[in-house]
Amino acid sequence: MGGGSNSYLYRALVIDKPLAISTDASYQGTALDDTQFSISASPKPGVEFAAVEQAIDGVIAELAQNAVRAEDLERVKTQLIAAAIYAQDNQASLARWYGAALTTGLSVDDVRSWPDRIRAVNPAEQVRAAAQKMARQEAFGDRLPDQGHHAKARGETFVTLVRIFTRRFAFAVIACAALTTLASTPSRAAAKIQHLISPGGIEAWFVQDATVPLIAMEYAFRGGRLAGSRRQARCRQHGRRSAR
Amino acid sequence: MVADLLDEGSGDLDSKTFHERLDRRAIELSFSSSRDTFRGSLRMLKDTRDEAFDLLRMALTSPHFESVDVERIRAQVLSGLRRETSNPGSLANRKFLALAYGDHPYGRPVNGTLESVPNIQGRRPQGLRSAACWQRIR
Repeated sequence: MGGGSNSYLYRALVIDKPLAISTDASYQGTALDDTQFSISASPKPGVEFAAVEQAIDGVIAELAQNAVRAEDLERVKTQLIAAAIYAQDNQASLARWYGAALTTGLSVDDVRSWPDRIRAVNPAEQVRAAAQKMARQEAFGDRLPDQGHHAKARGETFVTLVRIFTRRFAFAVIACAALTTLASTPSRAAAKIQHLISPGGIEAWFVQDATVPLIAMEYAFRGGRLAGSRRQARCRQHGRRSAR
Repeated sequence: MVADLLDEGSGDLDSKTFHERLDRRAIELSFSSSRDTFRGSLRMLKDTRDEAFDLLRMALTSPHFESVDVERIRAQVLSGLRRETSNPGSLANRKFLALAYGDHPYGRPVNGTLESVPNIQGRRPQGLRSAACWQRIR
């Protein structure tokens, strides 16, 4: 529904109809009590809440009535499974995954087998059932003014609309710090940094780690705000990691 | 704005198709601008390496800057700037930079201002030098 610019909400409210600046949908899956599925949208200046709300309801109804497109479901499943791998690239998020699971009664195996359960989601039934449940549920929402009095003085109605589909939600205490040690691997500590210079003069630093099947690259060009005052920007690349 | 626009369509792909290609393979591609640098970040599963670097190359060498995408991103940037006008931290930061650096480029906000962003013209906003840099990388 809400992840990125291919999501149904973004398509409906930002691209197809110019109602909102941005949209989001999220679900807090690790909680002890009833949890929340929240949908939010920032209306464009001058757009009424009612119009945004109606469009959101339209997206939910569409999901509840029609089978989700197979390619959309595949895309989301790929992203969720990839997220489990990407989490291994960051000690803090890896620890948070395990910490949130363990403090809410799940096990290490639950976390490890999560990608398999995502792979097994059956499109026609499970997704539609979830949307139908959401469509039936009484949603309560809150309208958060994020412009304060300044915006109102300028005659703009720019606010964020948040809808939360739950009555109660619980906070899980997440003990991630202690798990950082558990998550780290010996090979990472021993990783060697290679400093390379290309024939064109670009400097790159590579760290190879054979334990995680992803490649991440970060690079920077001298420029940014300062570029406005310089005739010529010089290039510099900082490569970060090439893992296989 | 350039950082936000580089992944809004390039080569023979429009914005929608470009994002579909990224999302379908869970490739994470993003750009940002700070005071000293224009930065890029690319993350992929190793099996999707070829497609990821293809998309990065396209974003850097042939971004579209279609007017409909420019206007959508402009609205998002302005929305962020308006939001900052009611955030004490942002206001204090802005004031500090202006006082500390004065006319030096460091004194100006990285994301532009409510006055400057509406006036950015053209399909190819000024200041884009990444394409030239990318030629050197290749």
